[in-house]
Amino acid sequence: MIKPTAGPCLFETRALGYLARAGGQAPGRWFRRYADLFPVCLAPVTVTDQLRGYTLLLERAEPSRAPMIAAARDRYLEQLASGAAMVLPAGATEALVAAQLAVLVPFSPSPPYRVGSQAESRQDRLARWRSQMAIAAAALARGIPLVHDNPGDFDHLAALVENFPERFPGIGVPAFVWARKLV
Amino acid sequence: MATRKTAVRKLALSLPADVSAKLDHLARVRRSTPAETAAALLRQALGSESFTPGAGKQHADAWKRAFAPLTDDEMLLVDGILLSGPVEQ
Repeated sequence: MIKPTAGPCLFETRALGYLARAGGQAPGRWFRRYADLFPVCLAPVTVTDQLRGYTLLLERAEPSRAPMIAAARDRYLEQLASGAAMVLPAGATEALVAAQLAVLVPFSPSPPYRVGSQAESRQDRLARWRSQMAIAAAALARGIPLVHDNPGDFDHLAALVENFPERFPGIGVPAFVWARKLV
Repeated sequence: MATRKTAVRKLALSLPADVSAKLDHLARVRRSTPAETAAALLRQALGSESFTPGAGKQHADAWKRAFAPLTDDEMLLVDGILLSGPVEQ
C-alpha cells in the first residue's frame, strides 16, 4: 500500500494499462488522485513496448477497427508529449543495477504467458524479462516506488536486492507495489 | 549596506529515513545545514510544480482514452506480451 501523495512513482508496462482502465474501482481512484499530483513516470522500454504494441495492432487490424486503435495510440502519444508522462532517461546506475539483476536471475521466475492454446515463445519471454529488469533498475536507481502488475517477477527482484545488498551499493530498500494492492 | 534576512518559519517534518539520510549526506557535502539544503531543494522543486487544480482529472481521462478502447486481447500486445503460437512443450 502506498499513498498517492507520497511522491512520483515509476509505472511498469502492464500496471499503467491496468490502472488507466480500472475506472471507479479503488486502484482507479488511486490513479486519478496520483495523476492529479505527479507525472506518470515510465522507463524508456515501457514506451518502446507499448508503441510496438499499438503499431502491431494497427498492422493486423481489420479496416473497420484501425481508426479506433489509431485514435487510442494518438491519445497515448499526446500524453507523452503533454507532460502527463515523464520518461526517465537511463544512465550508468540503471545499467549497472540491471546487469546485477541479469546475473542473479538470467531467466524469468515465471513461465511464458499463455491464453488458451496461444503462448509467448521462450525468446519473447526472455526479451520481456529483460524489459522487466530494466524497469526495476530504473526505479531502484532513482529510489522511487515501482508500481507493477506482476508480483511473481517483481517480488523476486525486490528480494534479490534486499538479500544481496553488496551487489547494489547505494541502492535503498526496494519499494515495489502491486497495482492491485495500492489501496 | 545591511542585507535583509529572509523570514523563516519553523516546521517539524516527518521524513522517510532514507530521504532524511540522503538530506544529511547532501548537507555535509555542501557544507550546509539540513534545513538550508532542504529549503534549496524545495525551492527548486516547487518552481516547476503545477498548482492548477483539476489538471490531473484530465490526465487520468486521457490515459483511459489511450487504453480503454482496446479489448483484453489487444491490451496484451500493448502490455508487451506477444502471443506467437501454440504452447511450447
